[in-house]
Parts: sequence; structure tokens; C-alpha cells
Amino acid sequence: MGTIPAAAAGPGTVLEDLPEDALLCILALLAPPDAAAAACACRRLAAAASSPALPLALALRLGLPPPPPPLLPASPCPAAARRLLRSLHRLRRLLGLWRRLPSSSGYASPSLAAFEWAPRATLAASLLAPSADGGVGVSKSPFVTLSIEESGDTVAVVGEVPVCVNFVGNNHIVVEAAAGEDEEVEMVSGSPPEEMYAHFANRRSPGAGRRRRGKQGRRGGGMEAEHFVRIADTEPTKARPLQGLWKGICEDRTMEFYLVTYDNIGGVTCRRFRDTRSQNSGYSPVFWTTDTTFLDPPFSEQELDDYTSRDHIQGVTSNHAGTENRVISRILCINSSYDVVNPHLSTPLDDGRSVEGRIWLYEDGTFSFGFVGSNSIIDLRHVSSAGCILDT
Amino acid sequence: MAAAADSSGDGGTSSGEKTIVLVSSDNSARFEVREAAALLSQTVRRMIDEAGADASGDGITLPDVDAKTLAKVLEYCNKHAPASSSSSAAEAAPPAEGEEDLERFDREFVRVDMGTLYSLVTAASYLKIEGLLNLTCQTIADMIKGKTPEQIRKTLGITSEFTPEEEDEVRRENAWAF
Repeated sequence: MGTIPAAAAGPGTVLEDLPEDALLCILALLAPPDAAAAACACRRLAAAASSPALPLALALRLGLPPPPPPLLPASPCPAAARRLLRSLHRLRRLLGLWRRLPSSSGYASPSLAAFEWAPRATLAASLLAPSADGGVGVSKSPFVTLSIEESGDTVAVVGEVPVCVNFVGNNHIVVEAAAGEDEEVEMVSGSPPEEMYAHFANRRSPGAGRRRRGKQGRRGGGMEAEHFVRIADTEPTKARPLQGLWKGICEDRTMEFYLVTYDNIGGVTCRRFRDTRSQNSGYSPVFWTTDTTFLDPPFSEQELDDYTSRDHIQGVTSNHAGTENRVISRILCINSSYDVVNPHLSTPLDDGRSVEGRIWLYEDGTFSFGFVGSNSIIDLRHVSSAGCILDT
Repeated sequence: MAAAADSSGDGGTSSGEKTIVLVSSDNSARFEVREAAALLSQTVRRMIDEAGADASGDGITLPDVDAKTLAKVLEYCNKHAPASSSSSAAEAAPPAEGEEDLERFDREFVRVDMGTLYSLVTAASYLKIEGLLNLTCQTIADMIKGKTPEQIRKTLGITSEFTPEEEDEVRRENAWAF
């Protein structure tokens, strides 16, 4: 055996000696491009990559709810195993929270969709909306259901209507009525900007999407194509305690969703999803700040007085208690200056050129915010925790 | 003879908790560990069930794990073992240490040369220790991410035996993934 550069392999043990289940485990942890590169590296990895046991290993690792269904016949051909693998990876890419882009009519409600695993190896997408009871609950209405057929291909339906869910790049999907052909239009090949341009160019005229796939006639009662963009980072981390998707009662006394994102230069922006049938519907900034240095306790008396003098906005049914008893762990001063943002895009909060406020971060990880000159506090709670949507 | 007992005391912990003796393949080392730690291995669990109560006296010999690897594996088990060792709760109960502490431990634990890492993978697979298998495989997967096949061979210490034709065929078979 020749010298092995860079990797100081210990006496005797090399990758080729690893048991099959370990190799499958490693491949199942990799996204398709990396798994393919690994397969090209040596014989054993190539064999493991085309092993029919790999889809099952991947399914188990993805946490498909038990029992793992018999997805393939006992000895599938490599092509069927590949189709299954491809489907599983596709479904995995759909997991998470997505934001609906406004349709051509400008109305997009509800605007949040959650894709989660459902029993029997299906992926269920639901649209999230404030629950009808007027509190902070989230209701889920069923949207798309994706499942894997025996052939290994994916099928998707909205209720009874067959649809296609296609990726445009990695963080943008389109859900539209299937035109009746079995073939999936996988738009990942080719450079993403071109595909996106072509798709949007076609969208301008009505029915253009269907025209592209031939004259199969309209299916699904004229369902319009829906576009969703991935919401990354839906939960806070230690380094980014404000990050994520939150819900809270706003000044209108209805529940709304808020998304807080961090940018690369240490700034934080909070946007609100408005699901009202009005001009203000959409996704608009509420506050933003470039400095995220928190104040630690002990807090000045002025700060504490300010906090205690405010009213926590309650919902119409006002049935959630305990918000006043949360312990503040840190305070952030926010200064949203209008210099960097087109004032016409933001909700008109003030006539001033900048908006000052406070964020109160609590020990339990939630936070509230309020503005200088206003007497109210908006309390926010987590929408999801460890990847699961919370009910309350 | 290394006797890597768990750090809270010597053989037979003060709380009177049951311990198990594990012996390496070449018989060169005997390790006495808390039952909760040993039971992280499904293989050990099965061996105990099959052998009955008298097995723990002589110690359980693990024919496929050498002394050095076994010591390292038990280091992992001791750290990740649950606080209580009631057999049904051993998997469900949270480990005695905090989560961040464990993450830090895991990160340091896998900073070893490739040979040791591969030995750990093989041992975790044979002993059926899910956490250790996931940790070591994830480490190797992380070394593969974003690399070309040539870079992967270099990092993982593989000498490729592919002929150019074979390599082309593998590339074609996996072309859907790229």
C-alpha cells in the first residue's frame, strides 16, 4: 500500500473496512450531491450508494413516523431505488416553514405554510392561521399532501386535485395544478436564475403555466400557481435569541405572525405577516436595528418603570394569562431609523424619522417589544419548537 | 492492565449501583463500568440477557473490540449514561450531564486520527450504540461535504482502485444527484 497523504490512518483500519450499515449511515447523512461525490471516491461507497438498503436507511434517519412502510419490493432494481432516494431527498428539502408570495391579485392569505411528516411516509403541508378562538392558538388547514408511490415517484395532491410541487432553486417552490401528464417538471437542472426568469416570464399571461405543458386542458378547477419562499431559521438560538417565527397579539387585538431575521452585519429586522384583505396585507417591517447589544441586569429604575407602566395587549377573548409574570433577562434598545428604508414600505408608525423602542427578553426565551411614546407592549411567543408547530 | 472505572469511585460505586465488567478482544484489559453506561450498547444488553445473572462475575468478552478502542468507547458511554440505571428507563432517561456540556464533549471526542475514528465507527456498529454511531458517522459525513471525489479520497485516506471506465460509470449512475 502506498503512502496516504494528509490522513494519518491508524494501523490497519481504513474506510473500506467499515461495516455496511455504517457506510449507509454516512451516505444517508449527506445531501445527494455529496453522496454522489462520495460514491465516486471508492468501490465500497459506490456499492453502498446503489444499495437498495439506502432508501430505508435514509427514511429512518429522516425520522419518518413509524412504522417505516415497505417502500419498495424486496429486491428492487437500482433504478427504482434511485427514484425512491430522489423522492426522499425531495421531501426532505420541503420540510419546514414557507412564506407564500402574493399572487397576481395581490392577495395572499393565509401566508404561512408548514411542511411536516405525516403517517405512512407522507409529507403534509398545512396553512397556518390564527385560530378562531381569538387567542394565540394556531390553526392548521390542510394544503398539499405529498406521498411516495410504489414506483418510487412522488405524487402531490391538494384535496382531490393532483398538483405539482416544483423547486425553483433551493428556497422557492411552486405549487400548481398538474396538467395530466405523469412526468414531473423538475426545474432544478439548469442554472437557477434562468429557470426562475423563464417561469416568471411565463406567468405574466394567464394560463401560461398550463400552455407550457401542452394542450391537456385545465385541471383542478383553474387553481392558480402558488409560490412559496422558504423561511430559514425559524427558531431562536443562544447567539440569536430574537431570531425566528413568532406570534403575538398586535394593536388590532388580533393575532399575527412576526418573523425576526438577523443579517450579516449584526442587525436585526422584524417583519409582520398581515393576513387582512386590505391594502396593508403582506409582509412589512415593524422594527429593525443595527446594534444588538443587550442591557444586562440590574436594570435602571427608569427602564423598569417604563416596562411596568405599559399595557400588555390582550386578544379579543383575552383568555391567556401569565404574561405579566415573566422575568426579564435582558433589554435591547431599538432604534429604527428611516434613513435606510423607503418610508412608503413600512407601516406608518410615526411621523418621525426614526422609531425608538425596547425589546424585553424573558428568561423563558420569549420576548416582547414596545415603542417610545406608546403605552403598549406586544408579547410574542414561539410558533415552533424543535421543529414542531406548537398548538398554543 | 488498565481498569478505566467510572470517575466517581473505584469498583462498586458508593451508591451501590450495579457494575458490569467488559473485557477487550485480546483479553488484555478489563473495564468495570456502571450498568447504565454498559447498557447503552444493545449488544451488551443482549449478551447479558442471554447469559443470565452469573455472567457479570467473569466479565463479558467482546471479541471484536480491542483494548484501546474499548477504552475510548467506554469514555463515551460513561459520559452519556443516564443518571439512573433502571433497565427500562436507561434509554429514555436524560443523561446526567447538561446538553451543552455533552455537545462540547462530543466535539472533542471525535478529534482523533482517521484510524481511531474508523475503529470507533466499527465498534459502535458492532456494539450497537446508536448515539456513538451517529456521532462518528456525522463526523465523517461532515468531512465529505462539499468536496470533490479526489478531495474525499485524500481526506478519508482512500486509495482509489477505480479504472477510468469504472469511474465514469459510477459518475453516470449518480448523475441525477449532482
